[in-house]
Amino acid sequence: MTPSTHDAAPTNPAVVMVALSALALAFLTYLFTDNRVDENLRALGVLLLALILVFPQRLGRRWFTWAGVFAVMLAGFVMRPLDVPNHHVMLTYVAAAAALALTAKPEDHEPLLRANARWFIVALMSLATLHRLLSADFLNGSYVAFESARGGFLTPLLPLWGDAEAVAAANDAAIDAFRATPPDAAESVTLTPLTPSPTLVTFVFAAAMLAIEAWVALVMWRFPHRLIAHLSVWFFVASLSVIRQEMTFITVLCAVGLLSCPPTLPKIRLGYAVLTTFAAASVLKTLNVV
Amino acid sequence: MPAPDPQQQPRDEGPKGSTAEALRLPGGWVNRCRAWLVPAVMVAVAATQLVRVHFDGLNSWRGGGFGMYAGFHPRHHDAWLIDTATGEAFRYEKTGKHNTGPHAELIRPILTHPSQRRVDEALASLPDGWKDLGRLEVWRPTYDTSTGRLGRRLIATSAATTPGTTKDDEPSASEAETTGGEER
Repeated sequence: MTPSTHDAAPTNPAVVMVALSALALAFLTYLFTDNRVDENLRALGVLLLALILVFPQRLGRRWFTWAGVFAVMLAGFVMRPLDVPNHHVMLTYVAAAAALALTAKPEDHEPLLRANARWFIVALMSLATLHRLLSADFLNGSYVAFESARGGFLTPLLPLWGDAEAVAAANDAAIDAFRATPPDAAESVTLTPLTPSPTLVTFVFAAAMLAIEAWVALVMWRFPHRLIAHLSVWFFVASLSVIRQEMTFITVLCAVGLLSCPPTLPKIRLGYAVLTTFAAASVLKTLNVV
Repeated sequence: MPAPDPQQQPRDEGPKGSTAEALRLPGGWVNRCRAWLVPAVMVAVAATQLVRVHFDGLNSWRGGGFGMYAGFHPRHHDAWLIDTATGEAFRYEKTGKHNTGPHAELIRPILTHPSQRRVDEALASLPDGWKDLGRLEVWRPTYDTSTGRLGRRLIATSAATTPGTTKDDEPSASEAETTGGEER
């Protein structure tokens, strides 16, 4: 048997507890957000996560609690495999990783959780980039231009941009009316672009999306211990919150980022914890939960 | 550079800030499994999803492959149940807000995975009377960035036909492409 060298950095139980609590908060945010989750599963999940948040030391760091959360998420996936959002899938993996890591000795929890979280971010960003590079709709700009024309991107900035909000609303109404007619291959409707030179704007926007995600994947792969990697994740989170208010996904990403952050960056860890709490609060406030 | 001897190097020391320190894992193959198993499953599932997207018609947004924002969301797709005898058409879409036909729970799932097999199965799953109506089609949007024209393209259609209507009468995907949606 290989001698147990335990050469990883020491585990700080308080950090692990905070990180797992942030993760529990992200799970709760998702369960409250997605109203398609089965009611019984949602109740069971909320109960488990509430126990984790109320008893972070006694239950939050136990593998069986997270195995229960994993079972809830997996059941949700199995019940509607082609209808769950990607952050449901991500949370399912995170719960499995947490349960698996917590079966190790307490001093090994932190490095194991950190390794898993790092690879989750790398895989997530790489896969998103790969999908876009293989998608004709993304590469020819049609998807991005379509979403832009209907105000699906940069929504918070539209009121600041002349009559962009009104044009987007008119486009959206035109799309609805067009789709309501029986399909005819010869018919089309013309949408009004929100910006001048829509082709150029679409190209720059799509290229920026690709570049940011590929960059985050690269730095989290090669330099997960450096400030630049985590600042890149923060930049991605900031851009996502402006481009598309995916606050549930942002909550999940910040919680995973917190798990991935090394002990040498305590301020960044604190920042992740604050971001997770802020994102979760903004989602729950929208839902009138808090 | 020689590997540090764990006997001489305490676990909490080492080249601070180095990649090796940041990525150092507890010893033993069990811990290696704890660190790699779930990410490996994640990549395997995503690889399967990627193949299904490109060879089986699965929408990139679904199936756990993290293909969000790579193409049109299923909520921008429409399924149409068409009575080939009367020409009457019933629309089904993902949100369910604008559905005009019955049995949406049987038809809406194909919007995320409009493969030939699933479209045929959806039509066959309809109660007697409905399944004989005619044809089930799935259409997706196309958008020309330079002209701003939004069109539609037929991406799947059921093989089942009513008497008097043959498969050859149905438009192929390429024939159905609209003028407003040039695929580049």
